[in-house]
Amino acid sequence: MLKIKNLRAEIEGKEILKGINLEINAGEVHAIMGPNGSGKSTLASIIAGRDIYTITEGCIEFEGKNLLDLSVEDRSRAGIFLAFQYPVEIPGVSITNFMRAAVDEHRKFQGLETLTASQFLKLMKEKKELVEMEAKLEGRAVNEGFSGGEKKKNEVFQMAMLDPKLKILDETDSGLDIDALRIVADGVNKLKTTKNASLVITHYQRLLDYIVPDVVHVLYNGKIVKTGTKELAMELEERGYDWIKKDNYTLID
Amino acid sequence: MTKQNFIELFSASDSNISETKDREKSLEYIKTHELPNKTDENWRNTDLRTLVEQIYFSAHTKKNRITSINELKINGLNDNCLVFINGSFQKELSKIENEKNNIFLGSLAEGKKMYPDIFNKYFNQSEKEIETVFTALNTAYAQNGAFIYVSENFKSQKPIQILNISDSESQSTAYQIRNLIILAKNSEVNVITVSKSLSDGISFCNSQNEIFLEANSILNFNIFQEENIETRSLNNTRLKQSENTQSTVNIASLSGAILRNDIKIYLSGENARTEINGIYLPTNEQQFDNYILIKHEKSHGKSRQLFKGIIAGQARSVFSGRVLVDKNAQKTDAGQLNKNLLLTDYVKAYSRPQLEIYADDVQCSHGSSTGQIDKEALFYLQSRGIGEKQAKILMLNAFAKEVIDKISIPEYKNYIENLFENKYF
Repeated sequence: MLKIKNLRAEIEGKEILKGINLEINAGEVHAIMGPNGSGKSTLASIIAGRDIYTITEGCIEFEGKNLLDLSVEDRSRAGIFLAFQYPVEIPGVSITNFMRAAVDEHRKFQGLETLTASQFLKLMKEKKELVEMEAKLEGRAVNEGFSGGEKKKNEVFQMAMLDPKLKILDETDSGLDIDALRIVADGVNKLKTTKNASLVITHYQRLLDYIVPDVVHVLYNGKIVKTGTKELAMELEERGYDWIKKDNYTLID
Repeated sequence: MTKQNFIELFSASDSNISETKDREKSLEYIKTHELPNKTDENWRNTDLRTLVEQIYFSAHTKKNRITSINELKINGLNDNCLVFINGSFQKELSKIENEKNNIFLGSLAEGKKMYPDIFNKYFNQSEKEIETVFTALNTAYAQNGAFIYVSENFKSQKPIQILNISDSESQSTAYQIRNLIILAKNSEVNVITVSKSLSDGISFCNSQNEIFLEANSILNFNIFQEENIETRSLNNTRLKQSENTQSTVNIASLSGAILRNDIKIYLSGENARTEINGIYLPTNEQQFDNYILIKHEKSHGKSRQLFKGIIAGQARSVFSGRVLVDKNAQKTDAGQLNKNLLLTDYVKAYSRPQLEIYADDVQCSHGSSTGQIDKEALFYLQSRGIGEKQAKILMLNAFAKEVIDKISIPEYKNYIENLFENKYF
């Protein structure tokens, strides 16, 4: 589904990604772990289409298409979804209007008829229940005045509404208490099928107790330095990141 | 044109509204003052060159040019409507229901004849000192306008439209409008002034609204400006409020070459309250200005101002909001906020919030912010599959919504919402 080949990217002349190789197939859950500043969120942003980074080398293919040629909105319509680490507040835009516009665009792209008002509201209701989102939130402006937990639930809710092929969760666990974490993770798990895939970016192993990965990668200093199974995540939890850093100094030396 | 040209032009109208003494006083002022220009503090940021350098001719109304005003009215509002073309009253196009004699609607000329006492009590009483040569010209040669008198204890429910149509084709035209609105004690009324163009030509409208709220009355006053891109419009509105009165003024400036609103609200009685809101959307080389003065003269007054502008193309805007709290206006509660969204690098938005407080027990706040579309928010919307253009429209709508939501007449609110949706497509 997703193939990243030798991806190098920089911001303001500073290289952040230094040759990433990653392949994710349908039905798989991949986790990317790594210390702060290793380039995890940059990778997520680049896949979603954030234009503040310059790609200097490499390519990203999504279902055989060159992803880097697509606009941000076309990537979303093609089936990529980024759950933001820090969801943006958009004063004045209600969640209902926002989702209505997004779902319409997705359906148009897929050559489907747009939903009627009642079909749409039914879909909203169904997906809200998935993340135990309170009804009062839908009339409110997107993320405005939401708590950390509400913002993350809202991300998973939008994910459920748009039913993406590739779900990228960027530090979705940050700022969540254990109950909210469980609800958010349950939501993500319920959306899992053999046809879609997930890329879970996290600093801590905690989230991976709930969303169990098939493959775990360790990103350090702009490169994937280790790939393994979920046991790798356990090891990182126990030993921290220092041994990775040390090993890599040895590699560089 | 020189001020002498303007005098010749406007004096040609068959004006018989103003009393001789008012006219003489105005002419005396004009003799000793210049047309407003950049050396005046209040006109520093309003570029009047395109208004003043144009040659205008007096407006001749062609009879029967239009037979229906349905296209020009606010959709869905089919009640009372007073129609003026180039300042002259069109009785046959107007719809007037003087509900059980509790309200008088008509032209100023008619009103003066039928209710001379009321007319004399209020006409030209809101301007304490003559403000500019243009206000003086309006008083000296006021030709006609709307006259609304709401009698004591009458609460008028149906909104009243004052439809002000500019019509100029081959010749650029100039005309004046003078509206007088009086709310007697304990009365209530909803008014919308609608300014539109019938053709593409150049016109200049010099208008004045005088509005008086007697004790315990409630006014909802709306100014809607959607004229052709050649229209120059100076609108001077003064409200004088007695005790326990409440006014709401909503301004929507959508199109015109120069639209300048000077709104002065005098809270002259205790516990008088006003709320004034504005949305202005200049584009291309348009200039839309709002100069607001709220004068708290007595205690326990309350005022709120909320003005938002979306400035596109190479347009310019001014918001100048001045709140003046007199020494004896204790317990005043005043707030104002101006926000501008700049859509290009070529626009100019001036924002001048000013508080002048001479009382010591008051609560006053003001704020101003000017910025561009939030790129993070735009990315967020796009990342959900919404195209860039539509994402921007969602955000512009959201920005304007706060002001548009202040409109309490549902048909009118609906009308503006639809126009807004289409403006940026």
